Amino acid sequence: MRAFGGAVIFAFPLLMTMEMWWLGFYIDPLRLLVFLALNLAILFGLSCFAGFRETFHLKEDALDAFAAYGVGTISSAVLLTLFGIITWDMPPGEIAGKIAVQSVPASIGAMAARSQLGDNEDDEKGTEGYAGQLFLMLAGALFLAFNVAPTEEMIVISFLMTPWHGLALVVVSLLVLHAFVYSLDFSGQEELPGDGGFWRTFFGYSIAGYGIALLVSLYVLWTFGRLDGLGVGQIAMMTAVLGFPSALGAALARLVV
Amino acid sequence: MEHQHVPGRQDKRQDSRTPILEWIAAAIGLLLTLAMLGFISWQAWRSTGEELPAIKVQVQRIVPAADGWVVEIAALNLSAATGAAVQIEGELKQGERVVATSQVTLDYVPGNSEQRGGLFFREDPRAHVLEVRALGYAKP
Repeated sequence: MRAFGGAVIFAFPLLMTMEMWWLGFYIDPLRLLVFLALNLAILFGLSCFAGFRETFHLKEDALDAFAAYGVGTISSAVLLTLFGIITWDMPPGEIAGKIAVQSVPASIGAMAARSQLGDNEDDEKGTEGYAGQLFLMLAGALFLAFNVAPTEEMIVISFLMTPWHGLALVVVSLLVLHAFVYSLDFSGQEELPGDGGFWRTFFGYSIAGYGIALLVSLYVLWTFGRLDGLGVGQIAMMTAVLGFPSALGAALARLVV
Repeated sequence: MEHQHVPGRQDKRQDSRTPILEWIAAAIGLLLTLAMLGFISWQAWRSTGEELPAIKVQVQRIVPAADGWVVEIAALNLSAATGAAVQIEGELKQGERVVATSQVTLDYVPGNSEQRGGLFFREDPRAHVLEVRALGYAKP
């Protein structure tokens, strides 16, 4: 039940975004498949940190990942039907596409529900290490980037900005990300692995995190077909725009999950 | 792989030396960040901010469609400025006489980029002279 709640809360902003409905019929099937596979991998990873149960066994975590995916798919299907966005006279390919796209945020919500809404006795599992931190940043960046990437505003913003705005945005994204990383480190909410030190935190977490955010942005834009036919300069600008929410997601992931 | 928190062990190991993974992650991140700054600076250097869109329309292919033919067109923006609501017109001519016209509006043709669309014709475009051009654009 909690998983369904999480799925609905995480997914409903996207369920009510029309660009997301359109994606269902224009997204390249191969890219969608790659994306769904990646989503399963992310769910599996999240399961290790914030799954339904206190587990760290290959089989259990895989089961959790599939369960979250199932919950995400079912809740997306139900809500899309409820909103009248999918109807029986649509071709099956379109229905499947629409549900598949929406199931991604819904399943992440289902997985995160345990740590967000749950009564977690042990707040942090604490055994993540550096690789785990990077993974959490990746998951956070992917989730937030995915939330805004389908909207047309992303493209429009990148057209409105001059290159100077773009440069400023890159710097601001990096600073915001570092501020989050640093304050987390400072308040001791979560001990960063490593001996601290400003530059080490900056390069090891903020720069690495921003790199992840940029890669994720590029990947999400490619998945949604936003980069097709674009020149290199436009791709860089669009990545910078989406890099901002991605960086925020990367920074917040360690708080949320 | 036992899943439990062992406070001492992990901290000690990571205090001693910067792990190789951290080096790799930081290097990749630095590379990507610098690449982004580089690309965008290069753009800032090249563009004056005063350019106007320069859109060239090319015919890609002509394919029979349900009720006639479809001409796939590619709009190539040669300038750095983006054009929105770009109107494209195709005319079929027989000598001086215009046999048919068709129009399409592309939402965006970003700077230095290519966008595709299609024009439908009742008549076979290959049997006539086909002229395509951009009519106008709006500032995004």
